[in-house]
Amino acid sequence: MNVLASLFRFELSYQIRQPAFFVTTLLLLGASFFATASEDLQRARGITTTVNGPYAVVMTHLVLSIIAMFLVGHFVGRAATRDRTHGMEGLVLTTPVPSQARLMGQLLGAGAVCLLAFMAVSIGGAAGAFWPEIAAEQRGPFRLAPYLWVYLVIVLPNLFFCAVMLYSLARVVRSMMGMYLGLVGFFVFYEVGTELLENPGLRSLAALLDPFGFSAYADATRYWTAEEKNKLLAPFTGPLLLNRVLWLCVAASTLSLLLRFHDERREQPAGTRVGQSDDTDAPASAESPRRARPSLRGASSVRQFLARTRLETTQLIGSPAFLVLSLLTSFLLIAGLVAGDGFYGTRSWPLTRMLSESIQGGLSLLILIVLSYYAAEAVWRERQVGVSPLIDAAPVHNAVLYLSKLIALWAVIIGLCGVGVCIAVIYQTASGYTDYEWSVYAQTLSLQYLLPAMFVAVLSILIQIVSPNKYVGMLVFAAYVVASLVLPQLGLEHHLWRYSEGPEAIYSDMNGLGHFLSPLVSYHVYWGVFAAALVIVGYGLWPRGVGIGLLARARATRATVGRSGALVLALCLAVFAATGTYIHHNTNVLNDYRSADAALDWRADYERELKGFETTHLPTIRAVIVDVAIYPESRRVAASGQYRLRNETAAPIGEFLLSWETKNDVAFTLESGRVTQTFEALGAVLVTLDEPLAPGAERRLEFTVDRRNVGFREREVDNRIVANGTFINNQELLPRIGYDADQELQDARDRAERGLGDWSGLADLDDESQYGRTYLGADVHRVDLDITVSTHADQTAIAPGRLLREWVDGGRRFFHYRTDRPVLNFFAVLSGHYTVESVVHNDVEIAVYHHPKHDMNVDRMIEATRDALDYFGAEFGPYQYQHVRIIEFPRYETFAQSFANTIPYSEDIGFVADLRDASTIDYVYSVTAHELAHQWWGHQIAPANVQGGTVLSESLAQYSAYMLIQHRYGPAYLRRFLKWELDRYLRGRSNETDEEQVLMRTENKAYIHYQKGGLILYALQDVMGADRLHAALRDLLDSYRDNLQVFPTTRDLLARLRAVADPASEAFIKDGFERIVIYDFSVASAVGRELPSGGFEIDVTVNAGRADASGGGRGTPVELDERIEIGLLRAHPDAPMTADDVLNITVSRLTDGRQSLTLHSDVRVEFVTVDPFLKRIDRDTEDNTIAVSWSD
Amino acid sequence: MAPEAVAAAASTPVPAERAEAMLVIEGVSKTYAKGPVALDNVNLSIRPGLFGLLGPNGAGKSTLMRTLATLQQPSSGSVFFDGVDIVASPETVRRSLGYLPQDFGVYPRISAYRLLDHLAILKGISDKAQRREEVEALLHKTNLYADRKRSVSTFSGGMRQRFGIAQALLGDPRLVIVDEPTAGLDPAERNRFHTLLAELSRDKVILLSTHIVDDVEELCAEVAILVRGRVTRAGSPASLVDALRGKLWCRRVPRAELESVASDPQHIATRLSAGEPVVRMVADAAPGAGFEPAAPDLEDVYFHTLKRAQ
Repeated sequence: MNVLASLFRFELSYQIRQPAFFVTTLLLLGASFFATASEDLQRARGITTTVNGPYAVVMTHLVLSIIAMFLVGHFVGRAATRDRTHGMEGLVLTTPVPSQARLMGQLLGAGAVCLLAFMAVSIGGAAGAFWPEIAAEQRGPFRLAPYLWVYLVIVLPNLFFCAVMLYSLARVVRSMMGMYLGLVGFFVFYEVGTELLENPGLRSLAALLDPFGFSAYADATRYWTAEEKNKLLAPFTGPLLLNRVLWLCVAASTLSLLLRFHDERREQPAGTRVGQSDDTDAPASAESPRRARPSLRGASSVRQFLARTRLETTQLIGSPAFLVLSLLTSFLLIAGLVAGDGFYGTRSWPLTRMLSESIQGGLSLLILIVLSYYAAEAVWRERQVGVSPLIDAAPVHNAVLYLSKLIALWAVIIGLCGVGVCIAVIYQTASGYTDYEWSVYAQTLSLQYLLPAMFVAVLSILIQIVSPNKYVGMLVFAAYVVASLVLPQLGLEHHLWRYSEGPEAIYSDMNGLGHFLSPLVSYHVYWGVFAAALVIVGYGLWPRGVGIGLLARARATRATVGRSGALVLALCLAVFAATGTYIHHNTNVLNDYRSADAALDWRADYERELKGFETTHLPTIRAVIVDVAIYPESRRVAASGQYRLRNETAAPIGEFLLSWETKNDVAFTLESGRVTQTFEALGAVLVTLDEPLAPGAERRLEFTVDRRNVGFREREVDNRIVANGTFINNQELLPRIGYDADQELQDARDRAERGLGDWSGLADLDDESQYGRTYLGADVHRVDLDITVSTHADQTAIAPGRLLREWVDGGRRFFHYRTDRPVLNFFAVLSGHYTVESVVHNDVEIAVYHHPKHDMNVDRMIEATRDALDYFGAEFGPYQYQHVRIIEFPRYETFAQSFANTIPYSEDIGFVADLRDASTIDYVYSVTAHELAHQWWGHQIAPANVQGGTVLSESLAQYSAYMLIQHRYGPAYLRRFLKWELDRYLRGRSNETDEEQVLMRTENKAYIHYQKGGLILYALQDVMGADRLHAALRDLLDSYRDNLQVFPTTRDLLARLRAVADPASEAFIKDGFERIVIYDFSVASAVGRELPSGGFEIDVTVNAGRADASGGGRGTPVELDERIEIGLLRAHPDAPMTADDVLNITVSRLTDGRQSLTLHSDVRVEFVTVDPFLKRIDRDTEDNTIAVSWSD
Repeated sequence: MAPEAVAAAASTPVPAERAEAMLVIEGVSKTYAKGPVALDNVNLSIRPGLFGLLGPNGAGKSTLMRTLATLQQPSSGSVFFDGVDIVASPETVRRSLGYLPQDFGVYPRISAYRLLDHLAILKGISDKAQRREEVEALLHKTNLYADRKRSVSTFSGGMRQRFGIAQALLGDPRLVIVDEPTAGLDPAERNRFHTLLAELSRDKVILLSTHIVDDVEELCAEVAILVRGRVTRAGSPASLVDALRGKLWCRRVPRAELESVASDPQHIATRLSAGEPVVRMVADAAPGAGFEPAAPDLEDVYFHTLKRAQ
């Protein structure tokens, strides 16, 4: 035992004196501090979740305990292999210490080192909570319990597991490199496995198999609300307990196997061959050969450079580490591709631009590791292997030594990228997609990825050149990486300050790199010449010889660099300065540059100065006649037109606010009106009418707008007007009337920082003053729209309405559209090179305008449109226009949006979804149906500007889409959607940053108005009957269709629902719209038997209950007494289920607690499930299904 | 016997001598930030031929060698090779330099042939055929030809040392600096190496640093003894030995007396003869009873120098 203790002490004291201990401790400290104090993470976490609450503490420790496997690998690996690598083996193995004591002493000592280092996580996290930027309400009291819990349940078991496994591995393979290889392999396997088990149906398996307990913990806390996250520690039971026990057992058995069977004194494999040095003299060439004389002219330098580069490259690429990295790259990429993600888990076609992004994403972290590690390797290699005296004394210029290393490092980056491309192309081929678009790979990878990485490589090498050793260099490089992430937030936001970086550039199939290309190239020249200057400095300071300090090297730089080097350096710096000036001229002189903070300041100013003008006492726009000239090639839009304004209020109007986007140059004339106050910076003027506008009187406002794009911008890039795929709406282009409350800052911190009080939020549901305007804006009423759009002759321009005429004049194409009935004053114009596919369906022309290559799902969109027109027409009333136009636009935004008969649809959704596999969720159909439904919900009726408004647009549209899917494909198919919808709702409320509102009063929360609204309405049609529900909806439509004065609210909806509701439905309406009710069903047992009389009988035990959850998430049980569906199924409902699998649906009355049911079936069933079609919101639907056990 | 061409420490070299010398070291000192003075005002003028630098471990031999090999800069003083200041323009000297460091490593996974070829390119031998001829010749000379395809990193110590010698001779250098070259070589290899050096030494400066007196004795026309950074003796081995002639005495001593005899300031070394200790002392007259005159050799000069320096 004494031996064990002293070995333990030796290991501990030896390892904590190594630089690696210091470095890893510092890294962990920094990581946890950052994770706790980072503002971004705080926002993501939400203001109601504390930064040091139990959940935050556990998560930080948990995530870092997984990453810590690399540190554990280092320490235990060193312990296991040290004697061997330092040639001490012979000395150590001949001592009389028992082998098992040695192993245990080393393992425990190294493990203790890991634990000590890991404790930095707790210190960093606890300290991070006191970061002054953290708001007081986000900082809970310090509690010890979460730390104890996390160490006992998570940290200690994880470290023990890693230490044992990696120590054993290192012992068995007897090399650090081998151990790392295994470690990286395991890490990749872990990542891939976690990705693959992400599917909701596999979560319980993942919870068991994840050796770090992450999945088990995530599962236990998946739908926790803020309140729970701040108060609770996950119960140490169920899958979590099982998981911990399982993996501790695995570790313990591995350890006992190691102790029992590992024999250190095992015969060594013959390591070094002994040279067969024949002592007979060599066949001595009697005469001395002609001695070669060095020739050191230019050609020789080139030869030297080539030879060095070849050697460096083979050293880097030929090393086992590169193989590991390539494998890692491949696995990460394959995992990303195989796991895939997308709307509703449906993958996209493997378009080259997407795969290019996958490659970049997969490599982003890896490349930093590569640059840091390989730069150190390359710069220090000669000194490390000891060959430097031979190389340094050779007549080779520093530039040759330096550049060859740089090129080799570049080769590694390019090589890894090449590996990525190979994988991507294989994936494309395997997916049956053969349009490889090599030029897109070349363009995007080189401009967006390789060049910046190559510039960083130069820096990384320079850091190593000036560092006293490679670990300091790696640390400095890590500090640079952190600084590059942090400094932008501290004010160095402009990319002129951010080495190797440039503004974001998005590649779109429709528009290529488009307007991003010019800033991208400018920035690459800018940083490229700067990097070139660093190259010269780098070889000037190249470490050559022994003990020549940095200062001495700096003094010698002039001699090393020489006159030509100095000249090139000067030239680089001159070009750097010139490009910098050019960029600055573009971003800050030709265009306004606002930092992110300045943009928020602007919004605060807008609110502060103009809030006083917020009123509903405004003229209403009744007609819009406008000419919009789009110049795609110069990215300019010029518009001129007029508004017909009318006073719809009861009192005369003397003044009103007119405003526009500051990007636009606007001039206007108003009959007998003049500007009495100008808010230049805010893009607003106060217009006073010489003669107030009497109620019912009209006035004409004429305007011209010019929106130009000159040079390029640093931020707030205009992605609306582009070479191909212009998409801009009237609110962005034309002058607006009244105060725009959408500009108000909503985030409490942003407001507090700018001296604004709490955000007032949406108008209260009962604020009738807002019933006279729509939720889309103070100036969005119904207008007659007459619009002429012109564009370049080879483009098509689209706007709402009927196309009256199309003509070409002077190289430009004109389209004259007019609406037949008033439409909301919210419309878009689009222009691009389109292929059009159109059909006429019952007098409605359906047309899809798409990018020529994106024809994959066009038919599907048309089919969905056709079905939607039929079904919605039958259920809710006729479609109001003669056209449906679906128009693709570039992926700068990822949504589809419904304007009157015009549906812009992003190229990143729908158009590129891969629907070939029948088991995928066809969201193209559902999104198209949703947007079509908006023609009723949003356009036939537009909600008033109060809480709950989006229920009338989004919830009803989402519900309509569900019903169309069910109508066409049946409830079993719909369930696939609903499973995702339920999950999104529950995750949404778990991530809620404020208090969850009830559906009736929701304020633009997507998870409430899309998911909860859709689910509640879907359940309601089941409770009260679709016919009755739709009758109520028709009544709502009839009351408000085309209404010009008053707009509906959720109260109007509820009144109509209640008018047709029976008591059970009435109760359900109250629960669904006015409360937050969460159900909990589970099936405890299901035993079936065959009846002698034929048929089958199944005894089922069901647990049921429900709770009312207030905003914070506390649940109070409320009585349950409802009729709930029980399904008898042939397959598990998450299988996914098809209509054939549903054998029998019974409706049973369920009340609180445990209850027994007896169900009958004509056929033998496999599964019993409560609420098979997800009509109630249940946080855990996994336990709603059980396999039937048959008694015979 | 060549005239004494080596200036002793602190003496100013005579211009006439400098003209003959290829390598001139003037007042070179080196002080490390931490530690003692490594070189203390070293002055040497070295003419073509084999020059031995003898000294105990830690005397500053390697520091001087590295300085001459342009890998280190002296704290003060200067070094001229063919009239070119090597501190100011190391590049020029490197073109004529062959250097075998005391200790060196090699790249992993590279064969002896390829590595030698690579180093030949670095030495500026651009012509492929010429390079091949040279590399193969050197591999033959160092008896590594049979192992040329093996990775140098798997070589034994002696083989690696031979490889080091081969690379030092690449490109027909005019200044060859070999630091402890025979360490780890077996006697046959050492002989071959000595032959090689002697053969090469015609028109070039070959600097051989060693603590093995025999190496110098066998090879070098001139030698300097370096102790604690200072050149304490310099000259041809014969002249140095001559200086001791008639002053060296030896006596067989019983082991019990050894300690008291060894503490005598005149004692310079104890050799063994058939297992019996024989002490050697330097004195103008016989230092005591039982002492007999002995013929001095270079080793006696070396130990005498060390003793005096203490």
